[in-house]
Amino acid sequence: MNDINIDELSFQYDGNSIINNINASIKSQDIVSIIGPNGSGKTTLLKLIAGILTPQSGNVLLSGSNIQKIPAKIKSKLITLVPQNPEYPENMRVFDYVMLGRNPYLTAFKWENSADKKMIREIMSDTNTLKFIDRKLNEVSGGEKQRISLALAMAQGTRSLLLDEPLSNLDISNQAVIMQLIVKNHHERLGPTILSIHDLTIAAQYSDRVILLDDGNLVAYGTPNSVLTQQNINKVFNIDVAILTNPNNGNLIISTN
Amino acid sequence: MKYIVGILILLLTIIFATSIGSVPIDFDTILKSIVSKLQLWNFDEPINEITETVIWNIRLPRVILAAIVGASLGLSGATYQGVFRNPLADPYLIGVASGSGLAATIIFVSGLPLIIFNLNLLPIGTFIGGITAVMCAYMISKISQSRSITTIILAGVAIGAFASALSGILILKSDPDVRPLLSWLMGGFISGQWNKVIFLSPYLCFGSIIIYFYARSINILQLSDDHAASLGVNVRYIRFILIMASTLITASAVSFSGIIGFVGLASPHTVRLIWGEDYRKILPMSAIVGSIFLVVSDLISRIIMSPGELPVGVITALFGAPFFIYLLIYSGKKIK
Repeated sequence: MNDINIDELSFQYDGNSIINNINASIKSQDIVSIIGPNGSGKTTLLKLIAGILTPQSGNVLLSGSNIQKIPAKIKSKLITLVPQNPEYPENMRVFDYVMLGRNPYLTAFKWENSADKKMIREIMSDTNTLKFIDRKLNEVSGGEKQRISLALAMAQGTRSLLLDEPLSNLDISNQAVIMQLIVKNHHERLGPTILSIHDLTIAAQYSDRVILLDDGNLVAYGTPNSVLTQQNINKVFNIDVAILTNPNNGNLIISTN
Repeated sequence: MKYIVGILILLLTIIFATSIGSVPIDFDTILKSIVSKLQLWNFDEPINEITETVIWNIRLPRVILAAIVGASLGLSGATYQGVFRNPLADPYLIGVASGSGLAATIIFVSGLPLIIFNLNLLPIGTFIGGITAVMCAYMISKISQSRSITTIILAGVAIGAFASALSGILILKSDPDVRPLLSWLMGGFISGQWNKVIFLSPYLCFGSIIIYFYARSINILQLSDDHAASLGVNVRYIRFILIMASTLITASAVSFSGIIGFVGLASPHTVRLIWGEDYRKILPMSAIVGSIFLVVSDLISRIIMSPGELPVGVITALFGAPFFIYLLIYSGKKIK
């Protein structure tokens, strides 16, 4: 099992409490969305789960092991975090960028081989990025960059995948393309997918579970139907919403009144 | 292939630079002299003894020293750029060179013995000076929490100016007999000798092995620190090792050639434009291009006002400063 257990997790920065005593158990087959207002601690929670930040108290357990105790190189084969707005070195070739994802499997003496190259081509074909394989990163659009960055994460071949706002700055059709890629990739992996997201309708549509954060506290954790209620949203976002149902597929649609 | 072409061009540049001077020497005379010195072939007619002396005792050590210092500056510039994720980094602009220069001045002016227990103090002192300067610049950019890539450069320029000012005061207050000893700080190879070449080479070799060992990791450092950590890179450790190694190379170069700017800035950029953003190629090619750049600059510095000489730093600044301004405008547009 590749479950992730979050156990009484707290994190402070400069004396301010960012994450307050959060408990959650994330099952390996779930896509989990973290939602909440700006500054509610979504990014910090993702970094804590990925083991990039060290909590002041509490633990994150990856398949039962404390993430802080797993050596960096091994950890990078198990779990990865795609940060919000990744860097795209402008003169780097798209292929070389995606290849950076193979780092956990390479050393100073063992560089990428033909198997790695073949794998990168397959991933680029799956993510529909193969056609600009030889372009430099300053020659591709925002939506293409998001797909490329997703391809890099897939090349890493981790069981668990964390994504910090993978849909930022994307138009509606690119949002759908990225979400479908994330879902497809999720089913090919053995671990959970956890993403932070602003669009509540998209969170409802694609997630198995939703974590609602407010000011570092976990307000609700459960299925989209149980978390995305008028009451919860009003409490956290301070706004009145209508919750409708899409007649075509039964998904929730959340709209402000 | 590109390495072979690069090294060939470098060798030709070295021979060309050796052939030019107050007494011009034929290209094939130099080649013959090198071939017979290396005992690859014996020629029937021996080369004029004076010509031999000019080649082996005056020109070649100077040109080779310039080549090694150029490689050191090109390589350390490329490393600083990769480590700080900053296209404007250069050993001169981030204050390392001036910090090393101040340390060297202190050692000369204070009358400390240069060699203690068979250990040459100069490279150790310049290394401490250089590492202090770069750490200060890095800390300032961290404390200011500015995302702008110019912050560390501004901090480095300020620290460099401060260190140079202190050096200036120390030199003016020093014994007039010591002052000529400090003229090399201006940057130059007038006193280029084989013993300096022999002394400098191990530092360059040692530093480049360490840096090249982490070449692939430098590629990953081009992503954000968090992203690199997610990919299994120990960011702090690797950044620390690479700063130490490139500062060691810079400091040893400064110990023998003084402060020479812009070689470490221009060479990696030229390489990047041609071969793209892979540090496994950028690092060795920057060393080669830096070498060629400095050999040519040194040649210009000694022929342009012959029989007088300009400090080579003047020539590199003449080419490098406009290049820096171009980068400032160009990268300013991209990165706000």
